[in-house]
Amino acid sequence: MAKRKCTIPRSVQSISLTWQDAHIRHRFSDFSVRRYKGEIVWGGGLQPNLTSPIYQIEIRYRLREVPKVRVIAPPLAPKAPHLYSNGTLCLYWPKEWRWRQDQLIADTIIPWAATWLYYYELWLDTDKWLGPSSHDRQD
Amino acid sequence: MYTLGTHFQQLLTNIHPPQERLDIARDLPPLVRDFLKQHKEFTTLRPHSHLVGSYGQDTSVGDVKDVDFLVRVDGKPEENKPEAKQLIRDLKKVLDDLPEALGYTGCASIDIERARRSIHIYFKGHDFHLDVVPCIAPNGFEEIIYVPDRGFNKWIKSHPVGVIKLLKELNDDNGGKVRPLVKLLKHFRNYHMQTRKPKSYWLLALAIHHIRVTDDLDTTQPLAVLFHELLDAIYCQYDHLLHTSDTATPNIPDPILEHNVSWNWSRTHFETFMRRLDEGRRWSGKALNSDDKQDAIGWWQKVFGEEYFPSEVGDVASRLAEMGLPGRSLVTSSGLIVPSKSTTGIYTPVQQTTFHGET
Repeated sequence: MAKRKCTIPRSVQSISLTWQDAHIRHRFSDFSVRRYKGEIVWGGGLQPNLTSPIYQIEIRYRLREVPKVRVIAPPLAPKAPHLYSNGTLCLYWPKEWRWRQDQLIADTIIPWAATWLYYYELWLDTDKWLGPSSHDRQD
Repeated sequence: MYTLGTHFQQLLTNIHPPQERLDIARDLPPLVRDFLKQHKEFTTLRPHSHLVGSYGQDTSVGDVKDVDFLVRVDGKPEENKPEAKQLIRDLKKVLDDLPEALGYTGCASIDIERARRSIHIYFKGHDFHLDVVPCIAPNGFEEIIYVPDRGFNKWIKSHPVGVIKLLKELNDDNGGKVRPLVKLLKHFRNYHMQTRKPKSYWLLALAIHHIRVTDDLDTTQPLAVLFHELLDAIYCQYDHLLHTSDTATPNIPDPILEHNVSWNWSRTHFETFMRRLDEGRRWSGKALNSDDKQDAIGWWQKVFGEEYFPSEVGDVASRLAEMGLPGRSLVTSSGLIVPSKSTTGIYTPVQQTTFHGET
């Protein structure tokens, strides 16, 4: 089972939640935001190709933690690959890349979530994950 | 439920017009445009011409065999000046010189004949039809124009460019699904109806009506679901006519001007269309309700034809997977994964990543 590193070093210059929000809503027009006790939650639709549904996703983020992405609707198929046990999407391989709070969610997490959905749609039709996968590279 | 997005992507590719036909549709109209522009006895006004119809809307399917082509002339439509009937005659006379001017002779010759509101040009060598429709456009093509009604010898309102713009807006506002939906509806008609076909414009008007006016289609759904919902919605809109009258036919409203565009739909042709619709909505419903992928594919093949709806999409999926690779692809503001930028919109490069996780 993959374990997530949930905290990141304080030494990194963080991008404020307000700045993250501005970038997300500029790039992804359907996204809206709400804040709750230091946590910020973005919700919005992503449609990875012209034949797919619009997937409603939610991104939860608080400073010094990693953003967590979940598909709210439509429900994902049972046994969908590349998920953590809590149902959030596994968008990167921590051995290759780590979240830092000087990164933009609009540059990384959301494009990867759209790409995850793109390969999920192909998986539904072929039963094969055709995107880059750590499973193919782990000994 | 299997919505088979990859299969539908391949279906859309399979019904897309061949490139050589699109090239002809692109290349021939400018020849006619230039011929008329330079003609001394027939004056056209800038910008002289505009492509409309399915080709102009980018909703063509199958073999593009004809293109509608507006030619702008001067006039006062309310005073019937020039006289609509006479203008069609004049245009026909001028276009009679077209074959010689273009050097088309012998087996590559051109047939020119007068139609109800246009001059019909048939390029035999290309098996390609061009309907040249003269129009008075007081405020340009972007506003309401007037086209001849030869039978009644008058000019009547039309707004084909408005329809093209409306379709683009609806398509942009609905995840790019409206054009594919119209194409699927046209292909469904072509596949199941050799004769008695409802006109493409009626199908377009029906699709627009259900998306924009009645708002009974959920365009956040997969295209497969949307197509089934459209067939069902059209059937339910008109099935009462089958039970309450022996003669009634639908009044399909024009998407912009709202007049009845299907005024000449015969009852028997309407009944045939409703039978095909009923079959289509039942088959597509079975496809969506099936728990077995192969079974679902089989039902969709009844709807769209085995030669168009693929059984197997391994190769297609591999190509799409390659196209979407992080590090090479882009994501649009609505989440579409694309290989390159289009002219407008915000695009974000997808950085390289490797998907991970326990499952």
